[in-house]
This record gives sequence, C-alpha cells and structure tokens, in this order.
Amino acid sequence: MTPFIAVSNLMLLAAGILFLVTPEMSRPGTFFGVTVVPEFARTEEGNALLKRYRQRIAVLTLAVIVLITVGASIARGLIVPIGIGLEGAAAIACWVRASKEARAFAQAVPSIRTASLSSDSRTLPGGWLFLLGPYVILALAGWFLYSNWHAIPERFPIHWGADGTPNGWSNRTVPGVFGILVVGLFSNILTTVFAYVVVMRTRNASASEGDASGDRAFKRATYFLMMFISYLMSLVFAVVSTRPVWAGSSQASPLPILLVPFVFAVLIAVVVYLVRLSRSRKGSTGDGTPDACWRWGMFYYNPDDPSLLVEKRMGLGWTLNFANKWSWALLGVTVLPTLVILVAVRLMTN
Amino acid sequence: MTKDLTIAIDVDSPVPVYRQIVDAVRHLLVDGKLKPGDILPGVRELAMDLGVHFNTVAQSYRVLSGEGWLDLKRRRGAMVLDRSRPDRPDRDRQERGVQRLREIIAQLQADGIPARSIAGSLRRLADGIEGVKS
Repeated sequence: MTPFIAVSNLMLLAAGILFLVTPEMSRPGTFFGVTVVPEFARTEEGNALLKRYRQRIAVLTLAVIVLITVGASIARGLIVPIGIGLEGAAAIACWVRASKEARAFAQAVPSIRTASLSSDSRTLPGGWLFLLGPYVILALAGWFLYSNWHAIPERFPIHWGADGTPNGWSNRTVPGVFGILVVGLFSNILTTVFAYVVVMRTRNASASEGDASGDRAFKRATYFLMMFISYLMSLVFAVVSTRPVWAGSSQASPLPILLVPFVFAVLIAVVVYLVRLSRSRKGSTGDGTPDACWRWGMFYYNPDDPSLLVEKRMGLGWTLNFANKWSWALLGVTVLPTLVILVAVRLMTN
Repeated sequence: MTKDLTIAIDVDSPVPVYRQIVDAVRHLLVDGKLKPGDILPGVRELAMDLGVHFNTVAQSYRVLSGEGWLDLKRRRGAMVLDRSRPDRPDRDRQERGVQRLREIIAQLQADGIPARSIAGSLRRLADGIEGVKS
C-alpha cells in the first residue's frame, strides 16, 4: 500500500466515522429527518433503527476501503475520487433508508408557532465592528503593501509544500501582490454572510420562549465559530500577503506547519461543543417545519415558509429553503466567491 | 421593552392567522407590556419567525395601525403609539365585541368545555381587567 492510498483510506475511515455520528447531531425531536417525540432516540425502536444504520455504514465504509486498496494498481489516479464518490453515495443511501424506516414513528408537526416581539431577541453578537473586523485586517494589510510597494521583491513565494519549501510564486504586479488579499476578501464574504444570516435571519424553531433561548444560544455559538474562522483566515492572508515586505530574501514559510493540526484540533473541539449544545436544547416535537417539505430528510422546499435558511435535519448547521428565490441569490453569493477563490489560487500558484 | 413578549398562533385554528396576530399583539398592548415608542419586529422578521407569509403579518399591522395602535413608517418598522382611549365607547363596536364574545363561548361549549369552567375563566379574566390600570 502506497502512502497516498494509506492517507486516502484514513480519510475514508474518518468520513465513515463522521457518518456514524451524523444522526446524533440532529436537534432533539427529529430523527433521520423525520419529526418524532424528543425522547424517541432513546427508545428501543430508536436504538434498533440507529444500530441498523450504523451497521450498514460500517460495512459499506470497509467495502470502499478494500476496493480502494485492491483497485489502486488498476485505476491509479481515478480510484480515490471513485472511492470518495462511492462512500458519499453509500452514506446517503443508508440515510434515506433509515429515514423511510423512521417515518413509521413520525409525529404531527405542532400547529402552535411562537415569536418574540422583544427587540433583544435578535441582536448581532459583538456588534457591527466585530462582524467587520476581518475586513479591517485585510484593509490594513492592503494599506501596508501599498505603502511599502518598493520593498517588495520582483519575484516572491506565495505557497509552500508540507516540508516548508516554496512551490508557488508570484511577481510584483498589482494582481500578484494584492491577489491573495482578494482571495481573503471573498473567503470572508463567504463566512461572514453565512454567520450574519444564521444569527439574524433564521427563525427560532422552539415552541416556547424558554426553549427559544436554547436556539439562540446555539445560533450565537455558531456565529462565533464562523467569525473565529473568518478572523483566522484574515490573519493568515494578511501574514502571507505582507510576507514579501517583512521577510526580505528568506524563502521560509511565514507560518509554522504545526499551525495546521492545531487549527484542526481547535475546530474539532468547537464542533463537538456545538453538537453538545445542539443536543442539550430542550426538546419540542420536530423543528416546526413540515416533514412533507423535506426531500430525503436533506433538501427543504417550502413555498409557504419565508425563511432563507432552516436548521438542517442531516448533520449540524443550516440549509437553504430552495422554494425561496432569495435563497438562490444567497447560494450565488456563496458559490461565486468559492469559484473566484479556486480560479485565483490556480492562477496565482502557476 | 420587557423581554418576554411572546405571541403564539395556531395554524390549524379556523381563526385566520392575521386575526390571531392582531389579537395577540393587541393583548400585549392593552396589558401595557408593549409601551408607546416600542418598535415591533419588521414584517419579514415576524413572518419568518411565525413561518407565515409576509402579507399575513403586513395585514395584521395594518389592522392595528387602523385601530390607532401602531405607526407604520417605512424602514423604521412598526412603532407603538400613545393611543388615548375614547371617553365614550362606540356603541356599535361594543355590541360587535359582545357578539364576538358570545360566539367564542358558543364555540367553547361546542368543543365540550363545561359552562361552569367557561364562567370561571371569564370571571378570572374580568378580575384581571379590573386590575389593569385604565
């Protein structure tokens, strides 16, 4: 087994583990995308259903790993994308099957809906300055580069391999120098728009004011996670973009490689915290959205619901209401920066 | 503004949703929980929280505005007004209100709620009304 295949198999195994715990991430009151009583996951039927799902996921993940290992010598370059696609498809198939089984225990969505008229029920945590902070960091980096234009070498590294040696270069041109900051700008648009919409433009699904406070705490925690990512990205982009000015002729990477596992560890810890926070919310039956509007418990389409985003029923987070035309605009706002980032990174590292 | 200003609607109720919103907000206004100068959530925001169409909430706000409770200003949302109560209540309006009350009582009886229980609830509500500063 080559190191490449070994790493690929490890990633497939990690994805398999993620799929195993995915049902645990849903809010109490939904189970495999179906509205149930909050205690259902702890009942005998709930446990049996979960066990069957996990057995299927475990068998299929191992089958894909064996396929990758055996088929590596035959399909070479294609085997890993094939393996990733197969595992994703297998996980979705297992989820859809479990979702169909869970429908036998479905409960009617409560017809009572509540809303708070209080002005403090929806405030931007940390205020606007906190939201705009990442953009200020990038603007300062841009101003620093502009002020020190003549100190920038004609050619300088902008990307480094795992061993710390440069593998991507750029020249002292406006796109070459400021391009990294533009990538940072679009990355920030992605995260801050999402963070803002989650905390300010999503509804509280709980049926009482007491339960809604749990929803708000969960949204605030998600907001701070997204903003942490945004600040971190801005700092990384600011350090890398200004490196030609302050590093002189050195070729060394401006960031220690150990930063990567550290950031991953922090992110995993925060996501685990979010899952626990989500699960600790006081349970109401379902999330207030009708089961009939969920396709496979994954895609939400409800023309009668003005929400842009609703809480996901598969995994942790939010998903679009595809019946809302503004959701498509939001999708465009998030997909466009992704494409710009991919194209820009491709152009800049050539 | 006080913090617990929750309104509830029942989407399966035969009473139109816009009317339920009007009744719930008016209840908070009459109780003095919403005070002059308070700003209510925007139409889109409240519609999203309740999972109903924007027009439903907009219609509710227009009704409350027509009754003199709200000032609907563009971009500033709906502001609670200092609404003075008429010295001499409109007799027709009073009759219509009592008629509506009779209909609600009839509906409760039709749903199987005993007359004694309804009378007890009405007495408690009446005590509450007398307790509220006019």
